[in-house]
Amino acid sequence: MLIQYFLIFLVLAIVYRTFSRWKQGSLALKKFIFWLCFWAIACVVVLKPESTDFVANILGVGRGADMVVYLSIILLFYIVFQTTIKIEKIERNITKIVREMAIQKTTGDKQQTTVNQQPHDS
Amino acid sequence: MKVVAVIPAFNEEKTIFDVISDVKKYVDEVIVVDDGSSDDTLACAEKGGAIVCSHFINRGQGAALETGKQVALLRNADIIIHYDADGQFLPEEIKSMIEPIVAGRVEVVLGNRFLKSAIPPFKKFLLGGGILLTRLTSGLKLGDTHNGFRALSSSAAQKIIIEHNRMAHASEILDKIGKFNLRCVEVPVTLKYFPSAVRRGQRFPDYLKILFDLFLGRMLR
Repeated sequence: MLIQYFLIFLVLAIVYRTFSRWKQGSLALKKFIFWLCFWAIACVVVLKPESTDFVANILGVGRGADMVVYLSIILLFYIVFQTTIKIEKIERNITKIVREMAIQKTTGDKQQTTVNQQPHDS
Repeated sequence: MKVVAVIPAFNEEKTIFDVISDVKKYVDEVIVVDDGSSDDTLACAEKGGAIVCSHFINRGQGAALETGKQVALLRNADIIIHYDADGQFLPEEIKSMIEPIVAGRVEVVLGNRFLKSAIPPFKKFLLGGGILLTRLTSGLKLGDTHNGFRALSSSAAQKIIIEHNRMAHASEILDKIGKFNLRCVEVPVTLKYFPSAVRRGQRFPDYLKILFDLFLGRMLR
């Protein structure tokens, strides 16, 4: 089927990217192996979709393809949730930076006036 | 006792000057936190004679209050007042707001608008939800949970660190009053519901956003 060629091409492209990142040293070996295994399984699922039926039957889902969709949705929800939390953390860190700068500017002005006053006093 | 008013302001050039001149009569210092306004709020606040602290990008009311508090504490404030920049509060009520702290009875004073002014019915319903939620989460039995008029002793202000940038800070403050077992009291305040304030006030989706923010805040810990 055409979709299979398309997906395999996509997976190979991603694996190539992962490989070059590992070579560059921006990806640890453990993570590289994890992703390699992940995409290898993805290839099997794409080429032999019926292979997932076995696992699906154990879980009580009719078809393997359905199970993959269900799991993907759960995974996506989880990723979105994690991302939202991460954004909130970043937001709070930005606030800390902005606050620090604002306070420094306000109190810095005060320090400047005391510095200016010193020669006047002496 | 040094009383310092903290006024967060975001695009309030029309009202901020008058608000500062009114509030100045009742406090020792006014700190305006300009929260990344795109209008002339900063210049107006300086002209009004306030100590101005400026966020160069907008971070939200909760973030601005925390910044203002830190500046106030650096300036050795004994009592910190949270005050709104849009002129909804009556400045003469600052006196009755700080009185319980000056007398040493409590550490936190919260304004309660239901004891005095008429509130639009739908608004009352939304705020009722907030009251119930506060009772469940912080254990505080309050009549008004989302009122921006507050007075805190310096020791209370040091304990209550506002982490929610946006509007959820109102609930957060109450949670922390409960958490640190701070003595608090509600004082009746007048709230002017003029058209521009109602338009800019919290709407139903905003309340959902607050709930979501509070949920997120819990997940962060």
